Amino acid sequence: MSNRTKTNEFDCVVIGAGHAGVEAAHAATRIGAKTCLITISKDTIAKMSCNPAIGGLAKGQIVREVDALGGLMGLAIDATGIQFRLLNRSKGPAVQAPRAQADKYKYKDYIRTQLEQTANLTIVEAIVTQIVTEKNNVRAVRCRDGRIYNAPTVILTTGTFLRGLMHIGTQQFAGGRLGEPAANELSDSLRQLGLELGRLKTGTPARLDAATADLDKLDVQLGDERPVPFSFMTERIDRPQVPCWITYTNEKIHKLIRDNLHRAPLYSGQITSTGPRYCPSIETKIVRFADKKRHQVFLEPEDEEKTTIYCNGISTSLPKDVQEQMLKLLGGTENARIVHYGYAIEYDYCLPIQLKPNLETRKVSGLFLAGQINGTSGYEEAAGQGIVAGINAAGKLQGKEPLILGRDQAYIGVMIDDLLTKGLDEPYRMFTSRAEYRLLLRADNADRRLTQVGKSAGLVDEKRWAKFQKKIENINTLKSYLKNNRSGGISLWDQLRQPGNILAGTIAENPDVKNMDLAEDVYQAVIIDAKYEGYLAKQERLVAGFRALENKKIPADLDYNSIAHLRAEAKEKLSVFRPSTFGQASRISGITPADITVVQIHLKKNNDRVI
Amino acid sequence: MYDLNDTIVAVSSPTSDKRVIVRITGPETIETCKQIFNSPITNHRLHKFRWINTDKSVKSLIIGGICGVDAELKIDAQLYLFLSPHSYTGDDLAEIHIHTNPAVTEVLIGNLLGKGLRMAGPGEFTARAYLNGKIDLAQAEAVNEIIVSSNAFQLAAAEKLLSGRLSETTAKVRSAMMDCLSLTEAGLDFSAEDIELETGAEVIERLLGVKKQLEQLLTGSIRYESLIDLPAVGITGAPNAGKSSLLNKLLGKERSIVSHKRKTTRDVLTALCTLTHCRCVLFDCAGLTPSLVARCSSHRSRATGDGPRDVLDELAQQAAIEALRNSAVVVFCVDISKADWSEDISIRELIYSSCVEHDAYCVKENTQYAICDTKLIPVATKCDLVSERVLSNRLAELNELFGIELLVTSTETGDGLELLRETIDRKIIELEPGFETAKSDATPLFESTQSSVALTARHKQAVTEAIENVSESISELRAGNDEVAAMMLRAAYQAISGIESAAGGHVDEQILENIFSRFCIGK
Repeated sequence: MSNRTKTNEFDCVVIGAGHAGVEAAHAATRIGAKTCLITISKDTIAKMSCNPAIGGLAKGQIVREVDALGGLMGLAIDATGIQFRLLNRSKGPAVQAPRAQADKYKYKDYIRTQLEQTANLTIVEAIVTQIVTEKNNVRAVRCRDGRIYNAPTVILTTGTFLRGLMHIGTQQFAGGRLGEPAANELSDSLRQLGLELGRLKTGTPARLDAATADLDKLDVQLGDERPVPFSFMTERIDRPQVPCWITYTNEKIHKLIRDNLHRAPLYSGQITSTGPRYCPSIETKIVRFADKKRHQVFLEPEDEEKTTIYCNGISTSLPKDVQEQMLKLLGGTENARIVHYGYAIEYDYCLPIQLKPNLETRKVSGLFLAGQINGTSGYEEAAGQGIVAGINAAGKLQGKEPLILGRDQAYIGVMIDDLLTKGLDEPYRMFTSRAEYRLLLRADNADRRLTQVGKSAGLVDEKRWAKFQKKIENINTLKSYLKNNRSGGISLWDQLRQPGNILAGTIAENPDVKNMDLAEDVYQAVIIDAKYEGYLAKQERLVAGFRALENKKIPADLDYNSIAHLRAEAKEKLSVFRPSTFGQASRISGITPADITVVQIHLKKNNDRVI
Repeated sequence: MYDLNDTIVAVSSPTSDKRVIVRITGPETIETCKQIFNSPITNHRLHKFRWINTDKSVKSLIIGGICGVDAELKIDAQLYLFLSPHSYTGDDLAEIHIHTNPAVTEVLIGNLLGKGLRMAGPGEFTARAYLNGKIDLAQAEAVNEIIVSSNAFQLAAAEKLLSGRLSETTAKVRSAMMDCLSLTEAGLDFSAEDIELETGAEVIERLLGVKKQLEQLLTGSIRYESLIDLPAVGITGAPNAGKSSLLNKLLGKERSIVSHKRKTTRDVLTALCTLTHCRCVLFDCAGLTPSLVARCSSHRSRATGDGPRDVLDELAQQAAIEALRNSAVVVFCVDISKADWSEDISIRELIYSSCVEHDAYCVKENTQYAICDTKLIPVATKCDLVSERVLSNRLAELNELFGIELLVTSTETGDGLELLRETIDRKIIELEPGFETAKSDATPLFESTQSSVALTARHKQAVTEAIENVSESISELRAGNDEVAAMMLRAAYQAISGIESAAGGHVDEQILENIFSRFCIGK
């Protein structure tokens, strides 16, 4: 990497310090890029704009993946979580995932401290207005105050800030988050670069002053007695946990909302962009599921001291007076003071089919995008892209092969591939059902899937690597012991594979095993591997076929219109999506095996460029 | 994209040729042939051939023998082996040449798919040839063929499915499976939501229903195996005696191409026919050429010095004879609009001689004739073309000539067709009483044949795969392994989706769409 001495010369500039930006900046810096992280305010680094929680189904797996690669999110939530729960405990290990409530103030402080302690990372407060390019290569970013930061790579993680427009009732105001300015000029700059932008919508509920809420009469939801950490580096979590409270909407609230629908921006025509189906506002719930008598609301503390409360389940952009009346009718919040009102926000995103699998735009070399700007929602989805963008931006400068995670390798891989091959019509969120190789992509084996990858990228430190090596060694020792020892003529391993075999619960009590002095996660890994071994063998052929296609690359500059016998529909679709491998091409809807073969033959004819 | 490591199989179009050629190519070609052929395909033999093959003057290794269509059915066949790289595709390639009806071909294909082969996609043989560097020019033509055959393939598939009830049935099953899959997935992805999902037991209940429907699809549809076991009715006669027209009338729809040109029907065409008391398979036997027939039937070992002969013609004739021999009833068509019956006499002799070989115990000539006559239904065709006077004269003449009364028919006016149907029905019941079906099952001829569904080997494979996966998903659900059950259900869903040619889009999006439209998700 070049030796940059001037104060405005960097290897990499990251714009935005949300959950994508912080992972990107951290990863790029740790790999060796002199990095500048630009945020509008240092106070909002890693701010939880919405739900004060990390993880959940499919999302928890992503946090584990980010952690295995050497990212921050897992460590941060382990250090600042106030209630931990392992979800889907009654279901199979492949679909179990950790979730935790965070002390949102401590969470962002933790991340900020980590970043500030990272050598070679400069954090700057500014509003970026322009991406400066030269012959389709990134050169610099220009700020509103005239400052210029030069860098050959730029990672854009703008969240909801691009032409952000908030709605509370009929009231509309520009901003990236409540009380924060929007980034309007940057949208224009991206358009000028030839990038196509779209518009999405999301929303958030009201926050309450906890001291004014009557929580004692409500049902509580407690955390797990023994919290399961997110990070593979965290041994255990001993902090006392706080509960959440559960309340329900009622017919009176539903009537109130129905009576005021004409003032709801989602139904008055004021908001035209699409919001997520999986995260509907309370007004949408009441309209779409009119026969449902009540909707669950979780009152979640936003910090350890319980100063504010997040009303999970009643995200809304109804007028302030309606929000006030609604809370008066909701059990437990009758007298609660609203700290800030719920609102909806519309923002620009960049159509992700314009990206290469390394998250770099095809139009502008060196310009990487991560997080909500790619149309996703969720802190975890953002972090997953952020770390990949950070690794790839730094890797590009070092001349490394791009990091492209496969669909059989990580949820992050599934997500990026979906973004590139499907396009989207609502904010994209991860679900385990999106992963066809779900049994492979588990929270428990994220380290075994990705630590090596993070190590190769230069992001995994010695301590993590040594710990990982030790775990692998122990797993292998235990497995070989189980495979080489029998009872009743059946190897212990085969017994472990039988459904419901008691060995799974008693394995640690075996005297030989006891002597091995193994950690809990080693037992778990072995038990889970045994459970899924047979099923995974079945999927192996599918995975092998999938990989074969993924390894066949398609040149980035292929002119599909020049392929004489390609169907018109295929020409059009392939020209838009520009798949980088035959595997991706085959996943674009409407592309047939015959189309793929035509392309394959065309490429074969032209100087054997692939195959 | 096609996986080049698969061993693939395709059936050549039998319309312009009399043979059915089943082509196999890919790494498992030789191994597959070893399994289905009785003739030894030894390594020594292959090695020797490979050695000869280097000068490329000998293109293929030809092995005659018996081909196992399935566990029970064996037929004569010739195997042409083209070893890599001296084959069309560049991989090992085998051609199995058989003379048989489409039902048997389908069973053979089913057997091959059961051994792990895959049906070739449109243009896949050509694509392989190109990718292996076997075709280096005319690239455009190669590609064009893919597109053309792709369209033809899709058209044929669409036509086949639209005409039957298969797609209707599979659409229902598919939607039920999607519901079960969505419920299972919702239980995994949205377990923390305040939604009331159906219990596992209810999902299992629905899946049992799905499984039953799929099984009915397998058992309730016309399977080619069952066609093999049904009593066969051969329709034979001199070339252009009106056999195809008669067959079409009996079935109530156009099944084979009919033209006034002689010898248009060159293959044994098969169709299912439902009569009042039983069901049968109609074979439209190839137009027989008496001179050829005489030669083939008189001595199996061919005379030498005959000069070049069309071996295929001979084999086609033999196939027709074989079909007649295996027929429970033979409808023998005589064109009454012509005056010369020398050909018809020869053909009748042939029918008799086929009886002799079939019923080897009939030594006395008279007995032979008696047995043959019981299964023979002589039919005078094209009666509308002659005047009543000529008709009655000629009938009298023919009755005397054949010693048996002819049934008078016309496909133009419909005269005699109902009587013919009844006669076939009666004869089958007399000769093969086991085939009588319950009265309640018997439905009028035309409707039932039109609504029957025949599962091709490809469809059967898909349905079988779906049943296996649904069964496994049920046991996994019972064991509480919902995440594994979901995987199986997805496989079953995709297998059934494959039957309908229209691409259904991304499965996970369909699942999510289904969940979001039914449940209020999202805190």
